[in-house]
Amino acid sequence: MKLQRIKEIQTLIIRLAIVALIAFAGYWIYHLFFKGKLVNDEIILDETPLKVEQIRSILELNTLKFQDEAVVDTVEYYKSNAEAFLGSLDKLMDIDQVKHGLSGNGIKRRLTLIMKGELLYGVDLKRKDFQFISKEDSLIIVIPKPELLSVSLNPKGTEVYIENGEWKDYERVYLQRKARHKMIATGDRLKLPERAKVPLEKALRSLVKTNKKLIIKFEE
Amino acid sequence: MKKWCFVVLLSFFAASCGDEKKVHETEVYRIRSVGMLSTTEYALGKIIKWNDEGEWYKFGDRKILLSCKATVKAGINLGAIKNADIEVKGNKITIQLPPPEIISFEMNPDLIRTEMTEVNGFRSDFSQEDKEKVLQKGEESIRKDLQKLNILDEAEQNAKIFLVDFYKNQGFEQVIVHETPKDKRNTNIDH
Repeated sequence: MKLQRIKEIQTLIIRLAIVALIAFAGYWIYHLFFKGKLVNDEIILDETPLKVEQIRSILELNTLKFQDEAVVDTVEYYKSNAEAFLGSLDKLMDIDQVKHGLSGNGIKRRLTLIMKGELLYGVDLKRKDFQFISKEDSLIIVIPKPELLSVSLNPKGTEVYIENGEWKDYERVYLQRKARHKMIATGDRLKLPERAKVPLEKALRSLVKTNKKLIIKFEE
Repeated sequence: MKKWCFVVLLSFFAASCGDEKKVHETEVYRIRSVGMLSTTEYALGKIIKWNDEGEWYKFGDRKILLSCKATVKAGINLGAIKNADIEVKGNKITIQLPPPEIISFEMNPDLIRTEMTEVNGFRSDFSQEDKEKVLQKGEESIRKDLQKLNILDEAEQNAKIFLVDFYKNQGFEQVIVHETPKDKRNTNIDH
């Protein structure tokens, strides 16, 4: 009787293992044949023209380049155990989300981006030009205070690190905006507009050719 | 008993599949002094079009149309001007201009829109990761197309105008600015 029961259990374990193996194989076959990891080289875009919408003359003297990296994350948790159970079941039904449905960490949706950005600090001379004050023995140049001139956050520097659940474009854009604010805040904390003054002075001194004493002043 | 075995197997399967990576936040930054004079800005627009037919073993196809805008600034690197590049003779100044280059490139995420997607057969919809990869290709394509635009010539002309004004303000009567030959320009698109 006992031997019979052991045999039954053995058979059951073997059958369950086979079912799990079939499910696992099915999952990988789906990924290989239907979904697959999108590789950049696989993407060949159709030719479309590049439209020049506006051409503008500007005059910006950039003296400090700040390259930063920010991690931005948004997580939505299940509100109750019942919701978590149903949510996990939903994910188990969706082959793209199976791995998230099995993790059992209470996370309903999660989107994490790693963003690289470049900030340029300097002076915008279109808004306010230099003032040259020539005195007998000195030349005084009054220049505007450096400020943030451009923030470049591009797709090339964006990595979608975790994408659990379905996300809309505006939600991704919200995170990208958050990364932008984070980088600007880091730049302010590091007092970069202030630190852009020294290279600005250096750039001007290398350009100005005078026998007089050169004095560079920043506007208050 | 059967239920228990199923739960054990499922847990084992879950443990092997779960991919909730931990995100560690560290500050990684680089500050560099530069001396770039931006003189021209182009606002560009492009439709990014991808027809993903997939491989022969993928059943169905999918299409996506994204619209995006890019702002490109070009100018010259004042830091590349050496003492030997500036020659002063009385009231006349001669300056050798460094080659113009792209100074900044920005594709504002706020101005990127998914105009259309179409998914057929057994293919899955475009995830945010898929879209980001398509956009990366789009960015690459815009950067390549920049070479066909007149942006560098215009940036050089505007830089010349700036330098002539700059030196005239300092009291020089004659300002001569020499350009770098076009074949010596930097053709790097990754700035």
